[in-house]
Amino acid sequence: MSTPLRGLRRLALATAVWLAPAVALASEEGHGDGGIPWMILLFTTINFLLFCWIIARYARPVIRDYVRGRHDRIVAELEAAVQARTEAQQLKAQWEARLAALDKEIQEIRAHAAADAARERDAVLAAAMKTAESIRNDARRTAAQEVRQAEAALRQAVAQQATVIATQLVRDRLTAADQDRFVSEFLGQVREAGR
Amino acid sequence: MTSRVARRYAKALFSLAQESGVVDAVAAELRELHQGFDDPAIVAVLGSPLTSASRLTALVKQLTEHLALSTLTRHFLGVLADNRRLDQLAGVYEHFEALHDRALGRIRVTIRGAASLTPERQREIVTAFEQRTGKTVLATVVTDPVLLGGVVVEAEGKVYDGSLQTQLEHLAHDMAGARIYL
Repeated sequence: MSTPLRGLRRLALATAVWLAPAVALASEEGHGDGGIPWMILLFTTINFLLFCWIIARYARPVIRDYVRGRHDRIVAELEAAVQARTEAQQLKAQWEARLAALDKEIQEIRAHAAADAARERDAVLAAAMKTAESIRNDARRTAAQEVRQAEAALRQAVAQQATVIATQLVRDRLTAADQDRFVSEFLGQVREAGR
Repeated sequence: MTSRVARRYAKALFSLAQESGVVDAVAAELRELHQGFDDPAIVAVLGSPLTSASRLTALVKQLTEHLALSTLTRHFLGVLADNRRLDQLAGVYEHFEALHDRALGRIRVTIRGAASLTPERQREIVTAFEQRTGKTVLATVVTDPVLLGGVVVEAEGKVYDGSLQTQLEHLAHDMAGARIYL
């Protein structure tokens, strides 16, 4: 059976159900003053049928769309809720796993930090030792240089003093014979070099 | 140290003197002129651009008349005056002497002694250097007490040092360079 016929039958059934009390009432009233007011019943029926037709023609699609939309929204919301629930469960599982592994992670972080600190300490110590060695070498060189300079100054002073004393001795004690001997030695050297 | 200009003039004069056979006479005149022009103030005046050429010429004329210079020396002085090179006279003299000495095969030495040297010692030193160089030695002897003892001879740009002062200096230098063990 097609959909319009089925709707029409439903409409007729509803009309019959709705009109049954009215017919009964009309029969009772008709018994009182002369019979059933068929004309009133007919117009009422026609009005009602028109009302039903208007409702079915204009209100029904809107109501149907509204109901269908609401159905779709509810379905979508239900699906989203299911999805959210799933994600929440996954997140919960992840956090539970992380919480379970947190102690291990803390231990690893602590171990890494300790290793980094040890490396840093070794590097600082090595640099400090290198600097200390350099300073020590510089100090050694400076000290050696100062000792050399002091030695040179001392030698210079001693030599100068010795020269002054020797010069004075020569002036005091050099005789004419010594002078003649020096000239003789000089002549011997010149003659020797000429050969 | 003689300048190149002085050397060129000296060489030209010596060449002309050799040609004329008056080298000794010109050398003696130059020596006399050198002694007269030895004063630095006179050299400064002779070399000054403020001194006019006429004054220089007049000066040369007076000199030649006063010293009775030979023709060659007179002309040479005239050329120096014309070229404003009279201030080079000392250098010309020195180089002329060097050329003269070389031509005669002789050298000039300076003998410095700490004490005055006897003529015998001077002769010995001169002989020793004549034998050494193979040239006649013209010696200038000077007494220099700073030497303390011994002699120093300067010949042909070399110094032959037999002085006690230098030996003491060497000794002091060796002492200053020696290591000290404390």
